[in-house]
Amino acid sequence: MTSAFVEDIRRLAGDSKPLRFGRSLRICLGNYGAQALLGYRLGRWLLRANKKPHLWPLLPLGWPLYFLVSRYVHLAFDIRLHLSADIGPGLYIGHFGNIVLRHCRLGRHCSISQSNHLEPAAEGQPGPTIGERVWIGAHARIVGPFQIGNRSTVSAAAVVQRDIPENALCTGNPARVIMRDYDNSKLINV
Amino acid sequence: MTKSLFQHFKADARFYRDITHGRTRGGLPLLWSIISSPGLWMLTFHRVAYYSTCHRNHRNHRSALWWMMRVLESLGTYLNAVICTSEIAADCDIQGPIYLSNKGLYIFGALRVGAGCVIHHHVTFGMAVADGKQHRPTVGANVWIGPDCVIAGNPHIGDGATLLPGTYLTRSVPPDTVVEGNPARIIRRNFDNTELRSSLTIVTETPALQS
Repeated sequence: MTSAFVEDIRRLAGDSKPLRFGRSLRICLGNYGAQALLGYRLGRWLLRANKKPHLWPLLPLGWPLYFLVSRYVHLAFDIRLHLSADIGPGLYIGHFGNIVLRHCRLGRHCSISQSNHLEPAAEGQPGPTIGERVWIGAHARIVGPFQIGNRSTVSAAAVVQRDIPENALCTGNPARVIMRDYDNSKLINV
Repeated sequence: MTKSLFQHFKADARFYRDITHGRTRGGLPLLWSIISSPGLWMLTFHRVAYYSTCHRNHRNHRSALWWMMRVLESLGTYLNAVICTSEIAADCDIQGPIYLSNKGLYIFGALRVGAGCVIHHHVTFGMAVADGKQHRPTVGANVWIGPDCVIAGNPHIGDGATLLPGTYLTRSVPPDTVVEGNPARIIRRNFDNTELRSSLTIVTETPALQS
């Protein structure tokens, strides 16, 4: 939990300065995405701790804390990071509102924005798999078992209905690949 | 142009009453629309934040009123996020009464919005970050924007234009047009959206507009 969350905070803070406790606390208080990720990472850690008997004394404190944080983030900012999603370290959540991540797999250093839906088309089906350093724009929907390659870019309001290769830029409804070699390093390094 | 804050509040509340109660007069519908519209609260918080932003730069002496405004601005930003799940840029110039939906979900980064607009829920105005420029959209007067629209980059939406639900707009739109789709296309010109703006019905299809 801690290493992935530290990676998230480092991503938010930028790599320029060394990360101190006061600065990371200020980021947690001022950033909705950091609060959502705090709840999510805590929940994932508790899921792992369920299987380790020496950590069971922490569970009665941990699970209520998790439900408190995730409920607050859901009600206040409508960011729903379900524990069934597998999110790599260093996620950046752009804005807030109507973000749903369920049964999906995200690589390291992805960026998501407001009103993203990354989920399976129906219950029990596989969800989308997203590579490393993928930038997903506002109102984009990836609903279904689609693969998105590393370092590719999903433009705002795109509705992805097929697999997207690496380094590609896709846009439109349904999404089409309009550039094969698009460099999104400017977007990812906020 | 130089309306006071209170005049803005009054005009907003009357605009909301006219839309939700169908152009009735009287204080009771006005009071009810003030109490029951989170969209109006959002707009009010934004007016306060905009006032405090405008008066921050050219004022050396920070008075008690300025501090009160500053606190109200922070509180309003937080309440907008919590109550309406939306974010409005503090320097967005809303020039007259507009309607913001009670369902919220706005990310509102427009530079200028004209009077008389009806903007439904789940709408994003934002910068197109891809080209490295920080342009922001501007909206003319009397524009109807349906739910689930994204307006990115530096388009100017002309007066009286209509954006059907689900539009992804990145280019400028001339006045009195109907725009639809992702990517956006102009599907009709010289359309009068007065009737659309006077109620809260949401039009989703093109055939409903053929009249």
